[in-house]
Amino acid sequence: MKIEFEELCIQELESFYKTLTDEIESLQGNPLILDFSMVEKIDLSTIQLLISLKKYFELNDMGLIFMNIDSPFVIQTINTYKLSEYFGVES
Amino acid sequence: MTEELQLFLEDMDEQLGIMENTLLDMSDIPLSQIDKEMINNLFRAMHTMKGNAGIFDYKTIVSFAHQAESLLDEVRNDKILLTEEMIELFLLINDHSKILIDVTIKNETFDEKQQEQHDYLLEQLSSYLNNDNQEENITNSVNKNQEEKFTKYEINIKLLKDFFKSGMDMLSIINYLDAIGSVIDIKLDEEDIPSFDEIEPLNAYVKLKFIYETSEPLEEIFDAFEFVQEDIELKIDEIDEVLEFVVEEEPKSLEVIEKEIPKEVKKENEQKNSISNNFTLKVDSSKVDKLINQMSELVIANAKITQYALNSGNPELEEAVVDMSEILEDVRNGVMNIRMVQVSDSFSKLRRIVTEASKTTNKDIGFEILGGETELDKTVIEKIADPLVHLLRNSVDHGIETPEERKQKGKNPKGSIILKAYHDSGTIVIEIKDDGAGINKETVLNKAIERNLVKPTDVLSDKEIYNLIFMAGFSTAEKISDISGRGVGMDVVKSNIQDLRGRVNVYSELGEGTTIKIRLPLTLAIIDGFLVESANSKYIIPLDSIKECIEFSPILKKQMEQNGYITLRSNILPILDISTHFGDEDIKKSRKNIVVVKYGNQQVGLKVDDLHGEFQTVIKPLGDVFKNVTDISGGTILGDGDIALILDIQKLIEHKITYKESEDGN
Repeated sequence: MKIEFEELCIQELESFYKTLTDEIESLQGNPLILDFSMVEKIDLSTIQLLISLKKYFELNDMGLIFMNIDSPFVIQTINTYKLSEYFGVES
Repeated sequence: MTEELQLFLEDMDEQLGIMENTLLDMSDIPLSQIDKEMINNLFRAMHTMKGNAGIFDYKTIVSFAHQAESLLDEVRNDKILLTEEMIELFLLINDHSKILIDVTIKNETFDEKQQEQHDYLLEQLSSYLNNDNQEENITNSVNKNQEEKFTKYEINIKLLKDFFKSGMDMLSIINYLDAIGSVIDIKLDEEDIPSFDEIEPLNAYVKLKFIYETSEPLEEIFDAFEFVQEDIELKIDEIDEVLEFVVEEEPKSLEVIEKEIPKEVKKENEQKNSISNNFTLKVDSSKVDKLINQMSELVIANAKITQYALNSGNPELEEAVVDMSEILEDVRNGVMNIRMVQVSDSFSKLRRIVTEASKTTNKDIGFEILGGETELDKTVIEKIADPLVHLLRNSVDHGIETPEERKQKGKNPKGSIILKAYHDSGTIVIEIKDDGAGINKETVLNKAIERNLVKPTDVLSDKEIYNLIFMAGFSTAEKISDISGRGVGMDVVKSNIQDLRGRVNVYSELGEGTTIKIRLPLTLAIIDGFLVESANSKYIIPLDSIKECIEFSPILKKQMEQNGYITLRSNILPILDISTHFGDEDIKKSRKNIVVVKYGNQQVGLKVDDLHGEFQTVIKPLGDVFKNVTDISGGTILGDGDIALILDIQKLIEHKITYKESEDGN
């Protein structure tokens, strides 16, 4: 699933949450692949939602893959919160 | 604009104002007399600008303020010598900071001239700092000064449910903390974050733990969280280095640290705390306005209840209503006081106007502010600022002569402008007094005739001639200058003042100077009034303008019939019959009263039928229909629903005195 937001912050969060909910319903046992190639900026509210998503996938033994986290700002944000390992980006 | 951004702008306005005043003070004294506190004022302004801008992630402001702050830091630590050129540079920095903030919050970019100025100022700062690396990482700025004492803290933050809805990003706060110190470590505690199927995405569940080091005082760290303090639980503990690295022990809480502070230090801190307990609370002015409006309605409702109580004949009820009215008056005064601010801040900003205008016109002018502690409604202060700027520019441009001219006239080559505020008869008076050339009555009159503002046959008093300068299109300046003299402005000045229910008058002595006197009401909403009745119409007289009330005895009546005035304690007192004045039919009454009112140094007796006493008066404008009605400044609603008109005492006195003078002239 390609995330269609350039900025993924509190303003976009409800919409993103709904998209994710729909996407999970249609997974049919496949892993969820989140493509961040379009995302330039995230904030703590998004990080919280992604952690929550990861918890859900771990609890349900489902696959969750983050990919194309390239934006320097997104990487910097993840690094600031010391979550590089969590999101699989280089610190 | 968000509330946080509004606070940022207010903070910056205050800080840059202090910086500007300090710089102007510094310009007026020899370098040797400039003390550390002055440099600290400048440093604080730039430091606050950097910190606040960091919270909003305004990088350009942060880096600009950082450069300025760095130079000031060097100056206050005696590493770089302060020069007059540097003071000039910081005045430019002050001006540019205002532009920088404005451009940044509007998400605009500099125009070519602004960009040039920005680059020039950075270059100047760099050259003072001898620092070629303008891209220096500001994160480490504090670390430069190795003499400073660094303290390590553990900061624990629990985001409350609505944190994200506040619109603030924690990253901005981290950036700010990094700007004033070093965020060594951050740990995000995910324990409370629910699984995706249970989460409310807009609610916050995160806890954060920072290990943080800074040389700044603890208050600075708390300040970083100023904008989110209602949406987080915050705990800041000082970490003892030894304990942290050698002994695994819980960090010391502030309570523990408190116990270990030596007595003398503790006492000093307590003194500081007792001062800081008198903190300033910043409140959105619309909330205060709403409160004042509600207060106005409450005053009207109270008037109604009072009326019913008086009619009821129930003494207990009457007493209770009197008690309530007294409390209400205290509350009303308290509410109105919220809006009252000292004029000094607003006046201080005008110093720059005089300094700049003096430079442009090559005049040497001393500017003095008197009565800065006088308080006035903030709305009035804001609205009077522009007229004052114009009047001061006029004083510099047209009033004060050049040093050569002054020398020729035997005057001190340095001119003087005094801006003074004081209370008088329930109003505030603002005077602009210069010791310049004064106004040439003949020149003014001739120009007015030339421009068809008056007829050559008109006979005008000195006061009327001076007031011609406030007529639209009037200008006596030989040349149009950048400072004034464009023929627009003085009429706007007058109308702005009148919009505030104020008055402006000019007093001048040729060769000696000019005084412009502005009289303004203290507040715009509620006044203490005195309710009177004449010919079945009710009127409010502002209580502050009343000197005394006397019975209109047969002896006084006889005097009045003979002379048109009465003699009160050997002084002549002109009498104005309110019912006749407003075209009402006089009612024969056995007893009538005179209310002696004053305005400035003039007095008039107002003849009325009945005196009803004090009345808290909520001023209601009369609307456009009544715009040509003179002598009335507004209306109010009485307890029984009747309307009472508020008398404009100045106009009434002027009317009576002018009328009397013309009668005498005939």
